[in-house]
Amino acid sequence: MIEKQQIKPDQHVSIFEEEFLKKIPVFYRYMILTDTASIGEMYADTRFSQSAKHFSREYIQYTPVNPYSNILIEEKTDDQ
Amino acid sequence: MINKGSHLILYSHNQNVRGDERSVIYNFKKGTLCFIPNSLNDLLEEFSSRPVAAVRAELEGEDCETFDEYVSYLRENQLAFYTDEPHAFPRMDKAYFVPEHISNCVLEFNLEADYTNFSWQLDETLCKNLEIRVPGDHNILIKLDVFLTGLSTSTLRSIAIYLEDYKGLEISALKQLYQNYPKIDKIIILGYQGKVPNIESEDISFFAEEPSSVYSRPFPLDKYLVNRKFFLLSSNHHPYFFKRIEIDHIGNVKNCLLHQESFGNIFEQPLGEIIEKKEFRKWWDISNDNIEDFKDNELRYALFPQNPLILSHKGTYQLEAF
Repeated sequence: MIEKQQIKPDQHVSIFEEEFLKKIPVFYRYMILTDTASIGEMYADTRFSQSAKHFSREYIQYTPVNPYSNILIEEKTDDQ
Repeated sequence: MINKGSHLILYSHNQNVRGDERSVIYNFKKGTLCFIPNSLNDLLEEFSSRPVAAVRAELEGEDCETFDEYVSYLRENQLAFYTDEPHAFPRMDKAYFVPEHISNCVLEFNLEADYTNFSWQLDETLCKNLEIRVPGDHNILIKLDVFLTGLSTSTLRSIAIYLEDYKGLEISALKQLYQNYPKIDKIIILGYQGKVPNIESEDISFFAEEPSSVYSRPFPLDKYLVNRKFFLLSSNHHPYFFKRIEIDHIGNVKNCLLHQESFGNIFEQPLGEIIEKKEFRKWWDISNDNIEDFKDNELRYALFPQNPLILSHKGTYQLEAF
């Protein structure tokens, strides 16, 4: 069974003044704050380069799913 | 879970592969491997064309119990589902096609060399991924800047830079480089002995291991790559050599930098001419199915070997030592 997501009162935000809120529908008081980075479609963390051959100035940089080469480094020098 | 339907078939993101001693189901959605006995693999092949009840009706005694165990295993692990319309769920198409002439390039960067012409030629191959191995030198970031400027409007999707640590290496300069060239995927500093700085916004990491040791180690055969793209590549072509060029510090083009054999020099011949050579492409279409050492291994489509190949008298290939 899917549990209903609990929304805490402090997650409710409004970009409107209290005076204006009184004049508009009540659900504007229940808007929820969401990080832009959490919405993939908004490309917030995407890096764009260029490609002349593709006539593109918004050529998305992506990390390949497979390794670039034989290199595999497993241990970091820091304590993390 | 839906338990209605005459046929039990694998979800399309699962792919079963038979080995000599056991079989495995590759789960591309989760990136995991699920080992199964060969008898269950045979059953899966039967399920693709016959109803579950018809297959079970032919069994007797203990075989029926084993059959039920197998079916519940597939259902509990969410590997397969019931349906009345198996033809509506065709198996994954195993064709592999990428439009570029070269997909991956590895370059041992030489401070003294001029890569202007090479940058242009690499773009002509429609190359996607580039790895640059850079020696430590106080002038290196200026040289690298010139090279990356030449690649800034190329077809490259991502660039990985492996840089040897040197006296006077400034973290701020690395960050600047990362920010200036959005094609850069990651910067890795090797042989770094100092305190590792905390960098959050840029993908810059530091390792103590010396570059010579990192570069000379083949990719381990006990690490498995489980994803759909790699599966399709490795079931049609050689997973490492296909559409790959590796260039050493004097410009020699190889299938792999761990090999001795070279097929031309980028400073003497056009790159297009080198990659057109039949000799250079001789291993591109040798998948792990044709390699004696792997052909009976159920994990053969998850391996990433760099070993040179040698043609045996049986017409199959064998791995050769580096």
